[in-house]
Formats: sequence, C-alpha cells, structure tokens
Amino acid sequence: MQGLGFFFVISPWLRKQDGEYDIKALKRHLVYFNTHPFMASYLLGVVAKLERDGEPKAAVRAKESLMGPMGASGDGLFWASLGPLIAILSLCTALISPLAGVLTLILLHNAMQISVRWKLFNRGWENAHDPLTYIGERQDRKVAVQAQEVIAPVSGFLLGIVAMRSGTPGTVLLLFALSLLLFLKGWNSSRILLVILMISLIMGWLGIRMEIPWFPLR
Amino acid sequence: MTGNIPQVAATVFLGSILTLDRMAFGQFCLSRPFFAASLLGWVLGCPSEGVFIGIIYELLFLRSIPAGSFIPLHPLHGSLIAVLLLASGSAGNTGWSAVPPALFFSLPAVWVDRSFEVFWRRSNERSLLKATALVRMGNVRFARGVHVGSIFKASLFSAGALLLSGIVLTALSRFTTGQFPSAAAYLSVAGLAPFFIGLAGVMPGRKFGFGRIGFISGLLLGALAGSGILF
Repeated sequence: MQGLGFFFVISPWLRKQDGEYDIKALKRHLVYFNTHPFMASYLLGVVAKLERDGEPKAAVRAKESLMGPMGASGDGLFWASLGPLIAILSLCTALISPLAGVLTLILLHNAMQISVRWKLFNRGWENAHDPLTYIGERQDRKVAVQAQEVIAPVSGFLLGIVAMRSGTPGTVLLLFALSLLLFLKGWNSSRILLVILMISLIMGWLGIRMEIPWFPLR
Repeated sequence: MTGNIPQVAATVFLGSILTLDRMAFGQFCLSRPFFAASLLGWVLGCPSEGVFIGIIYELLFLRSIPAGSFIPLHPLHGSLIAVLLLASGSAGNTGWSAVPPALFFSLPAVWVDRSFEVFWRRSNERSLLKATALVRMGNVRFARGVHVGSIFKASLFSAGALLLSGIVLTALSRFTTGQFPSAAAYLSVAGLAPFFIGLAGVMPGRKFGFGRIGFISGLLLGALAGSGILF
C-alpha cells in the first residue's frame, strides 16, 4: 500500500551523522503501511520526532497502532464529507461559470488539503511522545456531520435548477425520489444506475425527452 | 478509428498524466472527472459538453471512496472516454445530442479502470519486496528509485487501460449506433439519469434532520433560479 511512499519520505531523515543511511532504521519503516493520505502527515511528524529522539520502538508502535484509527477518521472526514461538499459547491459555481467551477474545485480542495497536511505534521512533531492526546481532542466527527448538513441544501439547489431546465420537472423529481428511495433501502450505485437506465430507456422509447440543462445561468 | 488517432492519443496522454495525481503523487484533485473531463473537452474542442460530462461523472462517483484497503470504482477513465466518444462523433451524433450516448457507452471504462488499479497495486506490493531486498544490500538510492518507478508504472498501466477502453468502446458505440440509428435518441432521459443517482448518493443517510429542511429550501431556490426568476 503506502509503505513504499512512507519509506521514500522518511529515508532522508534517517541518515547518520556521517551522512550515510541508517539501514536498521530504514528497514523498520519499509513495511506495510496504510492510512488516509492526508492523515499520514501526523504519523510522519510523530515518527520523525521519535526517531530523532532515539526512541525507535515507540516510533514503530505509534505508527502501527495509529494508522488504522487515523485512516478511518480521515476517510470519514475527507472522502465522505469535505470532499463531496467541495465538489458539490464547485458544481453549483459551474452553473454560473464553468471555468469558475473548475477553479473552485481545485483551489478549495488544495487549500484544505495542504493546510491540513502542514498542520498535522506540526502537531505530530509536537505531540510525538503522547500522540493519542491530540487525536482525542480533534473534532473530526463533528466537522463531518456539519459538512454533510451543508450538502443537503446545495444538492437541493442543483436539483431544482436541473429540474426546471430539463423541461420535465415532474419526471426529474420522480426519478430523483426513486434513486433516493433505493439508496435508503441500501442498494448500491451500480444497481440503482442499472434500474434507472432501464426506466430511462423505456421512457425514451415512449417518446419522453429531456433537455440537457447545461448552460451558464447568465 | 484511424481518423480519431490524434484524439485517442490526447486522451491516453492526458489520462496517463492525471493518473500520477491520483496515485498518491500530490492528490491535487486533478484526477477528478470534473477537472479531467473539462480539460479534455477544452483540448478536443467541446468545452461545455466536457464540463457537463465532468459534472455527471463527479456526482455519480462522489460516494465511491477508498475506505480502508477497498478499491472503489474511479471515474477518471470513464469521464475521459465519454469526452472522447463525444468529440470523435463515435456516439452517432454531435454536440449536446451526443452527450447521453457518450455517457452510456463510456461507463464500462470505469470497471476497466478498477481492474487496472488492482493490477497496479499488486505490482506495487512486489515493489515493496524489491525495495526491502535492495535496502538489505545497502542500496538505498535504488530502493528509493523503486518507489518513483512504481508511480510511473501506474501512469503506463493507465495509458494501456485507456487505450484498450478507447478502442473497444469507440468501435462498440459506432457499431451499435450504426445498426440502430435511433438508439441514441432514446437515451435522452438516460443522459440525465446518472445525475439523479449522484445527487441521491450524496444526500446524508437516513437521519438527515436539519438537512431535510435545507434540501427543500435549496430545491425551491434552485427551481426559482432554473426558471429564470432568481437570476
């Protein structure tokens, strides 16, 4: 997984005073490693500090025990909440100006990820001898829930525009309601896509048409 | 196919470059379909349609996330192939009317994309063993080179997968629309179908409390904007 990447990043740090690589230290970190890529910065900070302080066993222990929880926390916060929020905000912006939409995606995402990576590396360095304390203080779950609450009105806004622009608002809302219902029943995207596509083909065959509602609002 | 060689080449080149961003080399969001399809659309001369295809793919796969070691479906190849089909006229139409069939015929590329990633990850595991052996021999520089090589291998594999998807799906879409000329027209609703699924997918789960009021408010606001009253 990310073991090779972690080794690549940490290896310049693991040199002896004479400039030669510390092979024993390198072997310690050339192992299986898998966490959320943004959260890896925290573990990098912890490991770098502990290795510098001559506590290799603590460094390995911290890395092994924290990569799972940090990965789970990062997946929930970044992939499931902040990522979709940024994407959907940029899609809304694209309705007014496509270029602005694309720029919003790139700028917001990178401002978020670069600041998070930088901050987490520093926190890892500061809390290396007690890495759990900072993790306990983080409000990842709360932020994730708040981000998801913002997604709902923005999704509604997008759907409203698309429904009106398609020329068949009732059909759009019905197809959306059906998709949502199937999601809440636990169906996965692929199955829902298949069902909705089949329905769409039948509707097309019956002569129902929709306008592709893409053009800037102004 | 021969007439489309520059377009296929541009798609494969762009896809292989953007794969570098996706495989932990920066992760600057450049491999997301919204950016990738918009960029390819601009390169191939259909910028608005490219943005729209990017939006559809972005929404459809927004919840397809790599939780733990699970390898999810990734929309990069699918969105690029959709723009390629649209730009090359392979989907039987041109302009906006080509969007639904292009989306429809490009979807298999998403599964090919995942197969490529599984293949690459297995190769990456072997690279870890190779690097370990090199470090044991004291050859740290080569071990670091194995990591760089592994990243570029992903780019190469991605190019192969895109080339395969591009050739097969272009041929398939031409054959199908050639055999059934009216099929593309039936896909009008299907062009928007992934949009509804994508939106439903990003809605918070069963208990979205405050979100319900927000959703309905947003819907009304969007309806006003969409009908031209608000803007």
